[in-house]
Amino acid sequence: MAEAEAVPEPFASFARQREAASLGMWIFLASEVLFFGGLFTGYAA
Amino acid sequence: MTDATAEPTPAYLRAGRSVGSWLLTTDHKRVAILYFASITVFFLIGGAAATLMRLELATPAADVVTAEGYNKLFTLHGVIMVWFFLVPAIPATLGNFILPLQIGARDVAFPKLNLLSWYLNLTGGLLAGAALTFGGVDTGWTFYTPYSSLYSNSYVTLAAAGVFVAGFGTIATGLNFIVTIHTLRAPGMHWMRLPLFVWSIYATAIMMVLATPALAIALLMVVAERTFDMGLFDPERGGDPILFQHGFWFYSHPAVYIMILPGMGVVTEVITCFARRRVFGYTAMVLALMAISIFGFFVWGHHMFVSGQSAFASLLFSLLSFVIAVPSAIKVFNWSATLYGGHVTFEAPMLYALGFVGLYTLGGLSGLFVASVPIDVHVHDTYFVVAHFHYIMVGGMVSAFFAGMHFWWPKITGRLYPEGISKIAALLMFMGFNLTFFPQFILGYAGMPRRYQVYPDAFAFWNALSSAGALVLAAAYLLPMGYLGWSLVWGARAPADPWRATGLEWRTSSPPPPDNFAKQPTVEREAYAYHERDEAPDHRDSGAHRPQSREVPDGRG
Repeated sequence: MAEAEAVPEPFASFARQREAASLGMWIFLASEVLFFGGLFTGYAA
Repeated sequence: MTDATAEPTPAYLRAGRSVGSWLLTTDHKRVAILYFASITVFFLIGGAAATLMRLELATPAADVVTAEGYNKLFTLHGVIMVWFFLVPAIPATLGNFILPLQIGARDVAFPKLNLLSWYLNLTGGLLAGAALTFGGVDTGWTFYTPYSSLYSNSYVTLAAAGVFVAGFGTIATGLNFIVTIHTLRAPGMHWMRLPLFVWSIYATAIMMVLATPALAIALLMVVAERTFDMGLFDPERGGDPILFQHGFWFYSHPAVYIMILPGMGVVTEVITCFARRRVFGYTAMVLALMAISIFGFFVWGHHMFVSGQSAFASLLFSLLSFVIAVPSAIKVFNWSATLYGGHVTFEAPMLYALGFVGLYTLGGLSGLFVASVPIDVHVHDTYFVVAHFHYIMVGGMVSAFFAGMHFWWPKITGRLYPEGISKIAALLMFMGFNLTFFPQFILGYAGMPRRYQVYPDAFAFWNALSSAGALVLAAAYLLPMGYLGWSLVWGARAPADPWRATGLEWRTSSPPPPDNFAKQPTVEREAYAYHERDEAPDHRDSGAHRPQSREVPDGRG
């Protein structure tokens, strides 16, 4: 129970929190790939 | 009427009264209120610019502002309304507030990032606002090159920087919503049990994350061209002025769906509730939302039929634009079928939602006109296009926003708004909107170009009518600000579920406590279970999750 209390809001478990963090990072990277990929392609075009 | 003070924990509104408790909050509900405050200010600024433009256009001659001032007015109106009102309006206010409640979560997945999104949006708004008010920008909201990169002597860089910064706020919001929906759904809340508002925010969030970088690129290139003279859009140095249009519309066409999809979600919630009916074709509605969010990425070229792209490209983009009309039509047919056989009542949210269906349909059908290459060549850059996209973005999106605001107002504030005057405001908005924008279809088809301050006398009648409509519309927008503001102080206390609706958000008190739910809710049924599948929808007391069943002041239930 003590461990559960230490899980940062709003997650119910550490596992779910880690899952969310890595999903969030992948989405961020996807948007960055589009941003820089588009930028370099635009410059090269 | 039961007093909301009976709730076990204090509502989120009373969790802290200091300015710091609001500006440093990570509670999704308070962040939603921050967004609501900032977009209301931006809406008033953009609306004031529109009012001045319609005042100028009330007569054929130039009698209110200079030609240069007019250029700056329509730029201000467009930039503020698109990026600082329409794009964040439903996702960042109603989405932020309602989405975690609807899936039974305590907050969004990244609460601090959520607050950062608001600060990015506000910073962007202040930068753009500074550019637009200190010296103004005269490029139009589209920032088309080479005018914006080579010729304009206005504050283009500052305004583009504002939109650029706000864009990253939008990406962060989209990312947050996607992760929230994936990881924080309550036990039993399967994907096919999600309310369609959640699905609409999910589809929107995907577009936010994947389309906004293209806008950032396009604007960054304009700034680079202006600042470092890189020749990106200069044909003499190997550049291409059309490159900007590709980047800009790769974002800005999906942006139309970023604006309208959340509205579709709101309208589905409202129509099912006030028809006491299960939504017709839930799976088709989900697939239509996702189809729009995917196809929305492949139609940008229909903005460029007269920009010199190849005939084959125009043909392809025209075809794809027709294809995207199919899922849009599925949604309209399904809303109509949901109403069929339902016990329809006409409270204010329902009036706004029905207004949405009508105006969105007109906007969508006129979209087919401009998706056809030959007609688009005739009406390109005329008031026909202005009328078309205002039917979608104002008639559709703003109606949906008001529908959602009224529907969830008791949940957000814990107060009931006066029903009578709100119905008048809803009807006034529908009439004012049509009076303002329908004449613009006629003007555009007759050949009046957009972005002109003066026009021939032949266009005077329809312009006068449009300007008169704008006054009615302005009154219809100001009216809710008055009575909703009034209800904050004097409105009756709202019960947890005043509309007897089915979503999880109605299972907690109004307004909700900081942690949303006293205990983790679980979901046993599909969304919109207003009646059993094998029963007619007139069984008002059957089915739905109803934590409380109190009388509503207008006698419903």
